[in-house]
Amino acid sequence: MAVPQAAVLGLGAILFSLGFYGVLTRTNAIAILMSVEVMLTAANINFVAFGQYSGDPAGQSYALISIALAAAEVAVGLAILITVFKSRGTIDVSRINVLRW
Amino acid sequence: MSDLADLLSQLNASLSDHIGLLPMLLLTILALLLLPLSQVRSFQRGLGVFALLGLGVATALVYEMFAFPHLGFGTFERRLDESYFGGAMVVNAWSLFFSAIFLVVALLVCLASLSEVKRHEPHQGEYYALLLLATVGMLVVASANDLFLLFIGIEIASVSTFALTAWRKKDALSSEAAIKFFLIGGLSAALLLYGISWVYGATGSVQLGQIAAAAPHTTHPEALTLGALLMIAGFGFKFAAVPFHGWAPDVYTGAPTTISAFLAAGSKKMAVVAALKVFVIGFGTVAATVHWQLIFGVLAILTMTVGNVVALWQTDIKRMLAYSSIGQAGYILIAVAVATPDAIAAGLYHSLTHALMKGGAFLLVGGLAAAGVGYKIADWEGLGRRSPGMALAATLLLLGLAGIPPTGGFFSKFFIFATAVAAGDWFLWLAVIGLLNSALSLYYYAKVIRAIYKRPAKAGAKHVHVPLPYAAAVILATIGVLATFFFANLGFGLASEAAESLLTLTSLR
Repeated sequence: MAVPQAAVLGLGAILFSLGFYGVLTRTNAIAILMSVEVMLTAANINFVAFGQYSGDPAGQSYALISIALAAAEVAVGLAILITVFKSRGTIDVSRINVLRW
Repeated sequence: MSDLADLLSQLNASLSDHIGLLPMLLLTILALLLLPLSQVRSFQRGLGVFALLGLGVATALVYEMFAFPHLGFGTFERRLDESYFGGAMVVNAWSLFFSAIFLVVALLVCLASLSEVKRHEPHQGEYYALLLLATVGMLVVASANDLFLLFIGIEIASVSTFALTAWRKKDALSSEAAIKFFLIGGLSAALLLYGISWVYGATGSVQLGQIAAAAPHTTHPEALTLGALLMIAGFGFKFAAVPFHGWAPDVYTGAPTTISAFLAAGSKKMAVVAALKVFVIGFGTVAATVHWQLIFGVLAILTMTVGNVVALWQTDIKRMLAYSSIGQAGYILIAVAVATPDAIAAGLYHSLTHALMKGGAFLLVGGLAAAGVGYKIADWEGLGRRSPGMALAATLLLLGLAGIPPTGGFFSKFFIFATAVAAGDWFLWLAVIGLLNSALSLYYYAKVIRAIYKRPAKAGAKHVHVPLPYAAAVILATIGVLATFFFANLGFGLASEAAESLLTLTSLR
């Protein structure tokens, strides 16, 4: 029972659009971070789907590596959010505006 | 015992097989060594010197490999066009040219950091380790021949610089800059990776040469176009091209000044390497259907014009330099759009001169700030009297950014416009708009020079003593700016070699 490739790519496209919408509309830095992660997940789904349907195992390994990269990025990002929260008491990006955005 | 000897000889053999990767390997090991070393209380001052020496050795290694006997440059026989990991990494004139730019920028920044990072500040080991790792990321980008490896290199450099921007944890501006940089950086990474995934889907490979071979015959050209657009947007953020530039002025203003210099001079060039490589090589065979040259041309016009116009009414020097950086990125984008071998060489040469000029200018701002001079243009009034040496360096660096002789900025900009004119067609308009922008930009650079010399120092203003490491870094950058003028022939020759070696990547497998 095979899932058609278009369905998997469609799932990726929907996740990517949702993530992009979140980045544009949210003002809480953690929500933006989560939206970016959703966009990265969409890319991973694409890699797995393309690899699977063309019989190339490399696609799945790319997805694995990018998951590791995303984890590293989130670790640094959350640390930055904590320092911002300590110095400002908020992580609402619409209120972090001493520097003009 | 013989096991150990065996192991050593194996290690030796594998090292000499991967000689081109030695600078990256060296810097990675040193960065990891810096962390335990930073725990030794008495070694705090030595950390910076240790990192500086490591960067010096890496630069020497690149210089040894970057040998062109016929240009009278380099010491040993040329060791070029070596590919590693099944062609995922290629060390050739192209990668070495950019490695040299990145390492020189890192050296200048590391030198200035000896004074920027104060004796009592915590986390010095982390600062230098992250600086080295960011440089490693850039070196990876310089030699990557594979979209995915390119992405990994960009991420190594980005994540390190996110942390460096936030390095002064107590400084509210620094952490504000970091959160903006991080969120925009994350978004650009997501766009880039999603774009790469579509290119992979359309061509079945992430290796640039294979993409170039498969692209014209793909059954899904629309997937290829989508991938290209997403990647242009992703690179656009890294490059601070208009309309993806909003983050740059804030980040350059808020970050520690040495890191602003590193970002503007180094990390931006990383996006140049990546964009040139991906589009000239990977999409070189489908330029007629994907229209990436047109997109880069439009981006170039927008970026130059917006950057230079907004720079006109900045009163903060760091912000002005940030917008000037956006304007300069526009000139380099002309070279990406034209994409003839000569234009690429001109783009490379401008990358070199701009790295020296902009790096030097930011470090000068940092040095003067360390000596108690403020960040406003008005604070620089009377600098000609208060610090004649630094005033002269500032004048030369700003003249270079404006593109006036005797500085390398004159030739590199001239080469870009000349090659755009030579390419003819609509590229001519890029050169015309570039020239108009150059004239416009003269106004705000001259404004600063005028403030330095024309206005008298305020009563009671004392002589300015820029700390020695900062002064040394600025002077070295200024010498570099002059050298790129007087040895433009040699420099452009090297850039042409590099550009040609880029084009040979297509024929690699």
